[in-house]
Amino acid sequence: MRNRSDTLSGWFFLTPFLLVYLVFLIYPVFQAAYMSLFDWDLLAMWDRSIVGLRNYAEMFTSDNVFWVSLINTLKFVVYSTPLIIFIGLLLAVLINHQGGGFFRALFFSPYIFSVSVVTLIWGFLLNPQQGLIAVFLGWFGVEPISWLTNPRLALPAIVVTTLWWTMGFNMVLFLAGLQDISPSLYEAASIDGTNSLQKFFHITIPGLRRTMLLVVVLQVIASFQIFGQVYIMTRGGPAGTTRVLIQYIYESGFRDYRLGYASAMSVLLFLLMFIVSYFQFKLSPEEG
Amino acid sequence: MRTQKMILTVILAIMAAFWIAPVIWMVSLAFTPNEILKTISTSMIPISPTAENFAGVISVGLTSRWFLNSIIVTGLTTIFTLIFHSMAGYAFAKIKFWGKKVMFPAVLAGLMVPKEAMFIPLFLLFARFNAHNTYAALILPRVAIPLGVFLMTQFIKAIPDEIEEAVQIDGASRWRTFWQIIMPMSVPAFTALGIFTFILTWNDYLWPLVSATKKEMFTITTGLASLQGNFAQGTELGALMARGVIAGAPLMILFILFQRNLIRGISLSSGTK
Amino acid sequence: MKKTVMVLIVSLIVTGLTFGSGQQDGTAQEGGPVTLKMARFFGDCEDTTKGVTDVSKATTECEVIQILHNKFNAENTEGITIERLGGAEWGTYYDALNTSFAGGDPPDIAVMHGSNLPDYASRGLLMPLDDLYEAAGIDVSDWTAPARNAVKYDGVAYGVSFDLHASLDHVNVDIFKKAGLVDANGDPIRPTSPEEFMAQAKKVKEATGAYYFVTDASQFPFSARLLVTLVYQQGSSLVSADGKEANVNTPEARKAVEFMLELFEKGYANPDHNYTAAQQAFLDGNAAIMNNGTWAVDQYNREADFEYRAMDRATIFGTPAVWANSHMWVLPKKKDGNYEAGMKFLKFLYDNSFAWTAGTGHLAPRVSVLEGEELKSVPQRNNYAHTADIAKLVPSILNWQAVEDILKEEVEATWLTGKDVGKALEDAEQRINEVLKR
Repeated sequence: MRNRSDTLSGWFFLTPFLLVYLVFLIYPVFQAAYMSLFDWDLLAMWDRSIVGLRNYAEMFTSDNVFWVSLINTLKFVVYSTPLIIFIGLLLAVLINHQGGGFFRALFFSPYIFSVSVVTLIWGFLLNPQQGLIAVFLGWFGVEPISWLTNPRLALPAIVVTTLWWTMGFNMVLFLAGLQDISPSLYEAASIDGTNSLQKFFHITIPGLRRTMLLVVVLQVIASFQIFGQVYIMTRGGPAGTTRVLIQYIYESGFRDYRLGYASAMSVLLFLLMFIVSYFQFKLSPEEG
Repeated sequence: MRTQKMILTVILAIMAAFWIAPVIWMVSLAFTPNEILKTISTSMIPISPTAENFAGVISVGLTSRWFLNSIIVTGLTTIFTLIFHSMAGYAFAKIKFWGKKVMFPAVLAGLMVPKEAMFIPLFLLFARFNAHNTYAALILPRVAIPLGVFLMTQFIKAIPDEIEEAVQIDGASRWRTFWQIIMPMSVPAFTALGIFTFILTWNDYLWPLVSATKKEMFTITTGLASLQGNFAQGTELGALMARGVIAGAPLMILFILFQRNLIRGISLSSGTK
Repeated sequence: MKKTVMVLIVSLIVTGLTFGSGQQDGTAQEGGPVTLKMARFFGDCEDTTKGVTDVSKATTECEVIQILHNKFNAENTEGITIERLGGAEWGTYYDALNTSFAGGDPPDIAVMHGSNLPDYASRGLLMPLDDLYEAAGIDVSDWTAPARNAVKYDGVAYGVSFDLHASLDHVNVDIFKKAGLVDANGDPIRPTSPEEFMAQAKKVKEATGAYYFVTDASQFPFSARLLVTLVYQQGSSLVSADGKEANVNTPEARKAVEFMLELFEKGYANPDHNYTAAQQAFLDGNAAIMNNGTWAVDQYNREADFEYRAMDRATIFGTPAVWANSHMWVLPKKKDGNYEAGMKFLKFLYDNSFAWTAGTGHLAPRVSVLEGEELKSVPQRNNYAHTADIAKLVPSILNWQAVEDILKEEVEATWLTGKDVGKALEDAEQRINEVLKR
């Protein structure tokens, strides 16, 4: 008797969340898969026709912009992930050793800004006529650089912007993980005469394994979905060299009216991220 | 040792200075008259400081409306999220119900869904009901956060069973137990999840861009972004920066007030103490 | 219990709030007062135009249309009220419009660019107007030929022409004078070939150090439009006559791109400029010519502290021609659409053609206005009157937006990433063919 009433209660409490979860988080994935099999016009939705896997075929075999966008996204993931994680770890270690609440808050704070505020600040920082970076470089005799119109510098500039914006989040996760490492381990090592660097590599790093896994997974998931910074700062330019996949999905759906094609790319992105995350979990020695 | 400490502090201080400089610059420009900014825009301290940019922001254009939209959408999302997630957390943490073993991982699996990338099917869903450019469209997709359920579950698990049992022996229903015992004891988790949700929702960009396409339904985030491309950057830099300050200030204030809780919440949800 | 009731009440209020948005459905009733929803871009200017119905007070695009709107509401005798359906900038207007079509609830009246008309007309989303002009009192024979063609798709008319807008050479006459490039009357000498163009550019650079020709080379699609202009001037087009094939990898296009590259390479223009930087350079007196449109005439006239003249795009390549697009008003098809009432508003705008062109710098679509006395007294209009004759609209094809973006990207790649001109044209042609196939 108790069990049945428990089950009823359990589901009662779970249902509000579950409803929103299923309708707005899970259902869209299936809907995207469904839509990807159609030629689905944004302005003429009644007129859609099923095309099977043709969207995927077009994507892979005859759409150069898709490949460039995918590669740009991958480039972003590869450039930004190690950088944002490493700096986050570095600062966490420094602050854990030496810093305190004030520094922790300061380095975390950019995270609370929205992408439009961040791009507003950095768009102008980088501006060759009006920005601080031009002034700063000027002290070293360097001519003003038009970062965002330079095909080799635009993506790195966006990476640095993202670093400033989100590093604090990783730093906080690392700080939490560092708290978990027992101080007695360090004390014992000191008695043994190991120096700081050795302690770092033999105690700190192994002790952070679980945290590192979480940080890497979250960072990669976030990086794959990059959109705002690029869209606002360069619109995918110069000449499409910073266009990322989500921007192309957006353009396909809303500029080209091709909801089916856009869905196919969304499904691909989902699968890609799923595979990457899966392997990350698999490769970690313990479960996350 | 002391020199090492000093060196580290200096390094931290220098890095901190670089880190905070962009924000100080934005604030400085926001308090500088547009006229002056036409020629000099690189001062960290406002030249002939003025509040005219802020006055202009509030009275001209739709910034106030955008701000209001953000408050409504973010506020409601946060409230719904807190209620739904604490209920779900309570279920997972304290109630033995049939299917729990399957449902918990099923909910966490949602972490894998790239929320951002799913805007096309979401767009279609709301278009079917002609529900774009409504608050509901901006709120509903953001109310389910798998990580949030995890956080609440962890936290509520830590509440001793005895407290609950004591109340239940008195004949209280689960519902009453939830509201009168669990909720008050969960305030730290609420604060963390609440602030986190608030930040994420306030800063949401892609989905509001897609769904709230009418200018008066913009949030402060999409509204500010819309000004950046078209704004007379040469002639109204100060006004633009003032809008940026207004967009970021509420969160900054919230952050300063609640940063301990927020950071603790993030730590909690990482599965560590 | 009390708490639960409280919670329920709050939830109900909150739910009501969330499903509200300040948006109501415009309904048209038989006879009686009618409210129509109108969507437009052109900006927001509520604060300067509230209650104003005297259009001579307008100083910007927004103010003209807003005052005209106010005037119609105040003065029409049919009980029609036009409500503006929320604003959008130039950049996001079509997103908002598309969302409304996707939701099955488009506005009753909408403004539209001629280049976007095919996308909506081809899907049957707009009301054909051929049979409605006469009843509304609109004389289509007063429209110039380009204006009349601009509103047509596949031979059927869907709009009421509002203006044509084209690229102009915004000229800093002082710089021309300093470089000795003016004639006996003090008018700038126009180049008639690419060689003459470059020679003038060189002279300007040597005499004043200024850029000869500034343009937005990276932000908005100005490079694509310049390409269109230069290709038209060579008697060619970027799309085949039937609109089914790209015609980009041609010697004419090549000449055009190489011309632009030469400008950048020789320092006569700056390839890193975005819109604001180019405009700033011009207004600061550092450029002889700015490549911008008819919409900027009044602004530059007001703000330039040098002798400013708005001039026709120089005929660099033989045939006088310049990129042009158009604005028009359309009536989306609706279940209970009141097209008659909508046409009354469109007729009103037609009648006020002079106010629009005088207030904005765009070219009037009506011959009577173009040749009328009133226009002659508006500053600068005489200086580019010829543009109305050489304005050439972009091809009337589906997905022009995508095509323009591709042209922009490939052309800009030649100076931003050093892409080979031949390859850029090849890629552009291939990509555009993919688009045209859809």
